[in-house]
Amino acid sequence: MKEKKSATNPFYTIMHPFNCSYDIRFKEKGNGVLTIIILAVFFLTSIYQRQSTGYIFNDNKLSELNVFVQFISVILPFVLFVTANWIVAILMNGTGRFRDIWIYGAYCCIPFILGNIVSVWLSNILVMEEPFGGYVQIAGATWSLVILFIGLMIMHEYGFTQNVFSCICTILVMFILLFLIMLVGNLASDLYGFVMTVAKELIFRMS
Amino acid sequence: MRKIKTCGIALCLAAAMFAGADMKAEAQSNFNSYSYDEWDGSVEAPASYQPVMVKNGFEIGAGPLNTPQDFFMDKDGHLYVADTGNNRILVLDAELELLEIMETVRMNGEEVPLTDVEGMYVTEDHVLYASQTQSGRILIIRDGEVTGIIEKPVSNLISDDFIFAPTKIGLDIYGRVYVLSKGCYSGLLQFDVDGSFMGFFGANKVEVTAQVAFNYMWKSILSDEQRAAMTSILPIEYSNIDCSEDGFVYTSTVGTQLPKSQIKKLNPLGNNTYFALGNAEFNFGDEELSYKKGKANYPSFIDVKANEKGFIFAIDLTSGRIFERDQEANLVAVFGGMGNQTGTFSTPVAVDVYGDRVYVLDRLKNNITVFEPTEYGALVEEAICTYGEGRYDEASGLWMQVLARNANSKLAYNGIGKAFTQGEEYTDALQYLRYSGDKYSYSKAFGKNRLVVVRRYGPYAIVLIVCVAAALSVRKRVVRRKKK
Repeated sequence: MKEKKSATNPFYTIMHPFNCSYDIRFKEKGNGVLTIIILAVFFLTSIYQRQSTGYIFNDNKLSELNVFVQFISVILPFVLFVTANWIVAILMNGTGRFRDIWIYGAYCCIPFILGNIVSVWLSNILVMEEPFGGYVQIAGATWSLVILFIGLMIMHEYGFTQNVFSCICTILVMFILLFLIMLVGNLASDLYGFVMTVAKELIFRMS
Repeated sequence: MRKIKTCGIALCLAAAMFAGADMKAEAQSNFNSYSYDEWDGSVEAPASYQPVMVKNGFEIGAGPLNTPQDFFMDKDGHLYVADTGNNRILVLDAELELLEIMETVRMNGEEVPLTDVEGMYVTEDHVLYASQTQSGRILIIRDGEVTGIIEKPVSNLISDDFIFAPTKIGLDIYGRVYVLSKGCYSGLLQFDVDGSFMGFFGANKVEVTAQVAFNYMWKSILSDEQRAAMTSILPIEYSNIDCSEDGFVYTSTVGTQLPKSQIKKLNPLGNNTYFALGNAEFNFGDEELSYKKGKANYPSFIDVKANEKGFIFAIDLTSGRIFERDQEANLVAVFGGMGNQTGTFSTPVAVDVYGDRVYVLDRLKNNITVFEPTEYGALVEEAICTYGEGRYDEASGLWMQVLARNANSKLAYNGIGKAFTQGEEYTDALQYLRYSGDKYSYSKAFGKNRLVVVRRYGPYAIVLIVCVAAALSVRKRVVRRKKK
């Protein structure tokens, strides 16, 4: 076994999900700084994909790029997934910790990112009747999902069916979290409005 | 001396100012002209049509009109106006001068009044078909004499409780009569040349809205009795018909819940031929809709007419606008609107064409408005026709002139781009097609350009690859020999 090459190298991870998931969880091999870089690349790729996909396949209005929306659309699902999976793991006796899920999840994004980049290149040389760029994207996404599934199974020490159940629960919890975030946001804005009104009223009365 | 000079300059300036103001007033209309960009956002466009004449009953010289329901322009430029509220038909010329007032017709030796005529058609040899909606019959009138009547047909297809209330009439090139009957959801009634009933033609389909899908789900669960108590879902009936000279029947539809396929071009089999790529349905009205109490004001087309060049004019009751489209359903021009000024309407009911002119009848204002194309509008139409005839270079020149007047014209970019593609100048073609937002044509030109690039640089690339491969293999052998 090449111990040296294992989980610290994310490109090795995407080829060997069983080994690396085990190493990250039980041998503390994951690299936290690397995950930040991967997520940053993911975010940059999403912008690259939006702006540089060939005209034939690009339905976006290029002049209306909103970097903040792009950032949220990449980071929020990731953070939600990791948090939700962690919550589910606690409830279902999974052994994975937040840090492990985060690191392994970030590594799993790599095939998806690569697929997107290749599809952008392809979209610039293909015509409408040849939608191969989309196939590459789907292949990348499938790869990412498969290694994510395998990794979570190893990390939490689940069986196959238990892991499927955990994944379904994770998706549900993600929606619940989203709902809570929106609820808190709404209440906060209401509270802000109330405080501001009271303050204005007071200032108005005083003067 | 100096004073006089200043005075002169001031006068000149003032004159120039007034001249400028005058010109501006002439170029402005009482409605907005626009077209749509690639993302269905409206962009400004020069006016394509301007009102040149508005006449009410007094100005025509026939006394006030009363809720006119339809008019028809025959081949000789005679305009037949169904003055429904006054039970008469007016015959005008193309300048809206009164020629004749028809109040009664002779039928079997008796004088019969022309009551509630809601639709008309006039053939080339001046035979007038007038539908009497309340009486449920169509009179065929030649020189003031009724020579035939079409009444409720007797057929297996038609039940006894069917009410024949003909409104609009159209005759195709073979003399077959297409009749729109009020409250009939099965499509148009088609009559043969001798007046015998042939069958129904080109019914509208039920629109699948959320409510329709919901009802369908319930109906599959409920018992027969419960099902009978529910409202039945019916397709929307047509509002008007127009038979064009190339054998197609254009229909318009009011009150659609989805902004799709409001105008149909039916072939002789009764199938719609107006489809975009991949069988997508066109929206014939506004892309940007106004909302009232959270509900969208969907376009509602009351009449449609095709002119000799193949442009169709459809009038929308909701916005009062007339949408001009070409045979591929591209938006050519939008003119008219709601209002009380010249060139705007209150309740438009009919549109018709004669030469380049467009006539619009207003039921509430009781007047007729005549539009004529502006220089810009005529230029766009000429360019489209030239391109349609296959004279691409000539069309390209015309489109350049259009672009000089309207840099937002998608049609112009498209025409020039396609002309460049024909001329195998792909770099320019790609640029113009990109401006036009036509991805399909862009993809075609892109594919051809790609072939050119591969043919030009392909051999070099292959030679390069072969050289590199050869060099690598030689190096390998040399290294191996050294190791030995």
